[in-house]
Parts: sequence; C-alpha cells; structure tokens
Amino acid sequence: MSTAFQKDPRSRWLALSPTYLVIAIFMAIPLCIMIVISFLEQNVYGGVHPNFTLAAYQQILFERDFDDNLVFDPAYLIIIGRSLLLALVATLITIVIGFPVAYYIVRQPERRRNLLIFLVTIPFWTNLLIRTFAWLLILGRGGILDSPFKWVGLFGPDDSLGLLYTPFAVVLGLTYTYLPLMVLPIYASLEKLDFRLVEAAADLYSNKWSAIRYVVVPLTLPGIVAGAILVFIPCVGNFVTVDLLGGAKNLMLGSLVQFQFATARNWPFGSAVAVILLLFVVSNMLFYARINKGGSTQGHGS
Amino acid sequence: MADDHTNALEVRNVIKVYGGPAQGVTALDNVSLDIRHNEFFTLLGPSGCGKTTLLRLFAGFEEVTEGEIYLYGEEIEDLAPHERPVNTVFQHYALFPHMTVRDNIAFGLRRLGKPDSEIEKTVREMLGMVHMEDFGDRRPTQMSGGQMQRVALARALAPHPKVLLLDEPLSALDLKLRQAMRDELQRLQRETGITFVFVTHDQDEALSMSDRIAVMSNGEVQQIGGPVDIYKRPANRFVADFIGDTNLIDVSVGARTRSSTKFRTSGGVELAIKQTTEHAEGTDLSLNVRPENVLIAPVGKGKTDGTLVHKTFLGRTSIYTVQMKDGTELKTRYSNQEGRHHQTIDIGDKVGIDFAPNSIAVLTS
Ligand SMILES: Nc1ncnc2c1ncn2[C@@H]1O[C@H](COP(=O)(O)OP(=O)(O)O)[C@@H](O)[C@H]1O
Ligand SMILES: [Mg+2]
Repeated sequence: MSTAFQKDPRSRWLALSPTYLVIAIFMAIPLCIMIVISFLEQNVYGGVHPNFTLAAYQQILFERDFDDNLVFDPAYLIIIGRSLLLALVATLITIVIGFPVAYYIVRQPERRRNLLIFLVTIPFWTNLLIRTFAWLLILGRGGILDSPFKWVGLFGPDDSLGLLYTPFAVVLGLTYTYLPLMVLPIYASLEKLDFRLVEAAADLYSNKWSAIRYVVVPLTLPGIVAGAILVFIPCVGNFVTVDLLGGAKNLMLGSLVQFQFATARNWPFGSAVAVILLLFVVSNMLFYARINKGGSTQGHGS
Repeated sequence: MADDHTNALEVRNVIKVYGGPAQGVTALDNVSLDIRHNEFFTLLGPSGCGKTTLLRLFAGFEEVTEGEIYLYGEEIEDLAPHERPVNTVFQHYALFPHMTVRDNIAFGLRRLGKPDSEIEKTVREMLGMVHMEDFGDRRPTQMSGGQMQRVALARALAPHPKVLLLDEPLSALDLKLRQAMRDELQRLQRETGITFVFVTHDQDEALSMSDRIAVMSNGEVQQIGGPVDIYKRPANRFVADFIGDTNLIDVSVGARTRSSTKFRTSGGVELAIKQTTEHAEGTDLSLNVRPENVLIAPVGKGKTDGTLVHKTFLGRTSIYTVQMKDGTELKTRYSNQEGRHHQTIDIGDKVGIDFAPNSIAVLTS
C-alpha cells in the first residue's frame, strides 16, 4: 500500500505533513513563545514588556536586596532540588512496585492478562483531582488512618498522625498517580520477552532472582527506562497532587511555575523555570534514546 | 563417583498428564527406561509422542504426574531446574541476546560461583571445542544458525553437567550442516565423557549417532535397543515402519517343518521361508522385510513370481517395486553400481522374488 510513498520521499513528506503541522502549531510555536518570554522583562500587571533581559534566569539563583545588589538566594534551588529528589524517590518506588506487578500480569493466561491490564488503567477514568482528594480523606486530620487511633482512645479530638502535608504524602500521591505509567511500558517489554530464555537461565543454575537479575531485567531495560521517564517527568511538573497533599511547605517546580503565572504575574520567571524543566526532560529523553538503541540491537534474538 | 555400572538416569513408571486429570492430555503413559552412564542415548519418535516432555521432566521444567526419575541413583523429583546437574541444548538455541558468546558460555559457571580464572579457562576450552575461537566477542544476533548451535552446545557443556539433554538440536539446520554436526556431536560426547540424551524425530540421525535408541509413540516406549538391533529386529509394526523403509506383509502361519515355515498371504500366495517360528499354524502375523533384502531373481527361481511395476532412480540406489500375484507390492532396493543385471529389467517384465537369508522378521503386533 505504501510502496509509492516509500519510493518518493517528497510524497512521503506530503503524507506526513498534517503531523508536522500539528507539532508546529501545538508544540513548537508555544515552546518558542515560552522561551522568548523567559528572556523578556516582567510586567507586574501580567504579560511582558518587549525588552531583552536575563533577569528571570538571574532570579533563580539571586535576589535583589534593599540596596539593589544581587545576593545569592538558594530558595529556588532548594525547590528544584526537592522536586528532583521527591520525583526520583517516587519513580524508584513505582519501579519497585510496578515491575513485579507487570511480571505477575504477563505470566497469567491471556484472557486474565487483558483483564488485569484493563484494571491497571482504571484509575485514569476518574479525574485526578477527585482521586487526590480521596487521599486527603485518608491521610488528613481525622481521616481514615487517624480514626482507629481515635476510637481506641490514643488520640484526643485534635490529635493526628500528621501524615498530610509532608514529603511522605507527596511521594505517596505521586507514586499512586503515576504507577500505571510504570506498569504499562514494563508490561509491554515483558510481553515481548522470550520466556524460554528464563528457562535457559534456570537450566544454567540460576534461581528465580538470578534469572530476573541477569536475564529478565537486562532484556526489559528499555521498558523500565521508558516507564521511569514517563513517571519522573510528570512528577517533577505535577502541581495538583503536590499542592493538595504537600501543602505550602513542600513547594515543587510545577507548583512554582503555576504560581508565577496564576498569582505572582511573573511570566518571564515562570517561563524560565519551565525552560529549565524542559532542558531536564530533553536530556532525559536523549539518555533514553541511547539506552533504547543499545537494547534494540540486542533485542532481535531468537 | 559414578562408576560404569550406575545408570545415569532411571525412569520408573512415569506418567505425565498435562492440564488436570479430568480433561488432560496424557503425554507420557507409563514410561520406564534406563540411560547408562556415558552413553549416547536417543529418544526417537514422531512429533507429539512425548519426547520433549520426557526431556523437560529430566531438566525439571515439568513435574511427573506419577512415577519416579533417578539421576545417578538419586531421586530428583524435588529438585528445581537450577539444582539439577543437567544442562539442555534447546531446539531454538535460547541464547541470551544481550550477552556476548563468551558471557553466554560463562553464564552457568558464574551462577555456580566458579572463580574467574577457572571460568576464563573453561570458556576458552569450550570455544575451541566447538571451533568458535574467533567468535567470543560476538553477539548471538550476529551469527548464523549453525554458529548459534555451536554456542548453545558450548554453553550447555561448560558447567560439565552429569547429563546433557539435546532437544532436536539439528532440526533447524540445513542438510549439509546437519550431517557435519552429527559427527561433531558424537565426537563431543566421546571427548567429554558426558551422558547425552538426544531427542529427534529423524531416524537417520538416531541410527547414525546413538549407542542406544528408545523408539516412542503415543507416550509409550515401543522398543529400546542399539541401532542395528532396532533396524534388524523391530519389536512391532510401528518400529519396523518408523525406522527406515520396509515391507510389511500380512500373512498367516501355514505348514511348518523343522527348518522352514510356509506363510500364506491373504491373497493366497505361499512363501516358504527357511526360518522356524514358535507361532502355531493359523496365527495371523506380519513379515517385515527391508527393501535391500528383497531380491529380484530369474522367473521361477525365487520364493514366488511377480511383475515389475515401478522404478524410482535415487542416485546411488534405485527402488524397484514388484507386485506379487495377489496384488501385494514389495519394494526392493538395489545399488546402481554399473553392470548389474537388474538394470536391464523393464516395467511389466515378469520376475522372480526372493529374500536374503535370515532377513525376515516375524511381527505379532
Ligand atoms: N504444556 C503443554 N500443555 C498441554 N499439552 C502439552 C504441553 N506440552 C506438550 N503437550 C502435549 O503432549 C504431547 C507430547 O508433546 P511433546 O512432548 O512436545 O512431544 P514431542 O516432543 O515428541 O513432539 C502432545 O500431544 C502435546 O500436544
Ligand atoms: Mg518436541
């Protein structure tokens, strides 16, 4: 069907042109606008003045004191660091939970497998805000986790385990939210795995763990890395879960950007933070592309 | 450790049913056999007869439904695959695609916790043994089927298992390579002194390589014996038919003398054979004669007369099909060496049919 397309590169470009159009309109152009804004001057009433400045990037590292001198201020670096750390922890936890889940599912008979994968995706059918509010009810003061202590009489009426508004709550929320994004790519790569290789490993004196470590994990690494990226990136940028479960004390990058546009009216600074985020994402993707390339040259075995 | 009197493997009344006793498939039905220390043993039978199942029971990938299996006198039922000192050469090689040839071969040794120096030495030896010295750093994906086969062999031999299991390892190779690998496998078995259990559906392979063969059909062992034994003295019609070309003639026992027996075909042809039989007059049985033992004689000089109905030229030999008076067709195989008289016979010619002495096996089942 597509032989004509493949022979003539021009017609292939033509056939793909809607794709490029969509990418240009919805991705490239807004991205350029964002980058441009990050180099412009802030208009305190919203929007920007069209003058070039690096002030937004300066603001990430420095603050102006009363004498208008630039002094180093780590506040935003701390936010960036915290974002990366919490996102990393959440990603690692999703791997630790997601891999066994995917492994279990892929070893089931086919009909059961499809059902289980469907169940994994079910949370996506409910609004994220509602699901996060559910965690509020579970973790919050007088919530489901607090109530047994209250009934037993360990707590006074105003006591709480204090789980909400902690980094723990943030990581829990992020892990819960993005776990399916880890399970699905790992499942996809496990499904392609030739399980006769696992038998071969067992034949060659591997117990279960060695077989997983030396055969299954290396051969499904592209799936694990894809899952890690799919989880890590939105974790860094997330603000709904982080705001609701982390409160004001646990500000993260996503919330910071959102705050700059919605409340502080500092578009250039918000854009600059977003650009930093973007650079981070792109470098992650390049890393993934490298691992995946290494994996696919090895992946076509019998 | 294992002296020559011990059996490498003993299979006792093994039954294997897949998928629950109610609607299960019986893959092995009361199989018993002994595989001796240091022999090249072959499981031979048509596809679906249970060969792979038996091999997987040895390796530990399946559990017996009933019966016992002993490895050098030790019951192995409770051992997981990685606890059994046996290795498998898989039909589809199952080489690890993310590792080099060297790492593939070293895999078992590493899991056994051997020291690095020993691993390196053994890997080098194994690469030499299968003539793959220059391929150590390649990946399996960059090799031909024959090369992958050699690596699979080296990988399975490297930990020096007590028994090597080979599941149709040559079936994916082309004919030339297959022939070469036969010699290679025999050499490896002798060099390593490891007991080989080889699975195949190819009777030529089985006959040419094995010390002993178990012929299987429908989950049952039909006969166990050396290649010559099985070829010349098949235990029943199935074995006779499955191993090599043959002629099976349905007859009933007629008059017997001290040194010869008359057999009568259902179509009334009488064959007087210089052979005694313990079967009573009137017993129905089959005569098994290999085509190379059916001889074309001058008319009237054979056991009976017939007509040449078909000739097939096969290169080194030809198959001539002769028809007895009752319509039964017999195949006879002749060498195509120059100057043989049968080359002048044409289709439709009358011929005598004779049998080489002591070449007829009597089969009752
Ligand atoms: N995992 C399995 N589940 C159910 N039936 C099986 C399974 N493996 C093999 N069988 C059946 O058992 C019988 C023997 O199979 P197998 O041992 O593979 O034969 P062979 O290797 O001689 O071709 C066949 O009828 C096959 O369909
Ligand atoms: Mg088989």
